[in-house]
Amino acid sequence: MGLRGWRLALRHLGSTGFGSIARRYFAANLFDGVLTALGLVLGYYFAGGASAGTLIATALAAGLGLGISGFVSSLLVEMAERHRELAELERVMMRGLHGTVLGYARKLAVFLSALANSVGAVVGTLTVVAPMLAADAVGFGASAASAIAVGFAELLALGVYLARTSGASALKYAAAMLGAGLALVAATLLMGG
Amino acid sequence: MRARVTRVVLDVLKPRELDTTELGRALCELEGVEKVEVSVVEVDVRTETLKLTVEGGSVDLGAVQRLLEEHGCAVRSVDALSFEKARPGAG
Repeated sequence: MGLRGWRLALRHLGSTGFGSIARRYFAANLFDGVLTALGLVLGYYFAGGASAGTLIATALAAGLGLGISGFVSSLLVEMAERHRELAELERVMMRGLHGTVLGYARKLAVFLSALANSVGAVVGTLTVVAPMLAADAVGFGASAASAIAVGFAELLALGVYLARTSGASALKYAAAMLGAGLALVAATLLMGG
Repeated sequence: MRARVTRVVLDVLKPRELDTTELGRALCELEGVEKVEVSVVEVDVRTETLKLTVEGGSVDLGAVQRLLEEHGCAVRSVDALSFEKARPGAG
């Protein structure tokens, strides 16, 4: 079917459950990205580092690493899971489903879920270190403090978002997210910060 | 003078993951089709059995079956067909 197959598959993307999987992956890896970048900023600052360029380059590499890892891991996990489900569906339907619109829609869902996973990590990392770009203007300490503040704000926002999607207490989720950030600060300080 | 198919009723097994609304829309986009009715007859864990009624000035049964097959459905039977004699001068 080629291009026509992909175009038709787009229409059925919503019913593959792609939306909720992609949201989960994005939120989970955004959290990973934010915490990784927070750890980098805290560790570098407390270790006496003062080069914004080095910190940004390190965070960029870490973010890309997380992004690639997130993309490949979720691609392989989702492919394996969806392959098993499709085989089961083929048995029930008593026909092959590869090359059908449904088959295309499932492939598209796998790819886009993996992409959401990857983008979450990169966005999480880069947004935290973004204030370091202003280090020349406001000083390294102030921009590092801003980066840490952005990281905690993102954790808070992620907590509120997860609470809203689950219908649970925003306070509980926000406290859990902030707790993770504070645990990271404590661990960094204990390690000799 | 060849009679035209104006109504087809099909018994179709559809994966539940496939969006019924979009499937109906795709059928409606076929040439000669003017109206599509979908009734869900049975729901299973992974599949749904549909009674599909396709109506139009000139329904191409083969095209309807091909579209359903390429979407991942299984056409189990053609349960009813209506024909109309083509009027002279009409498509």
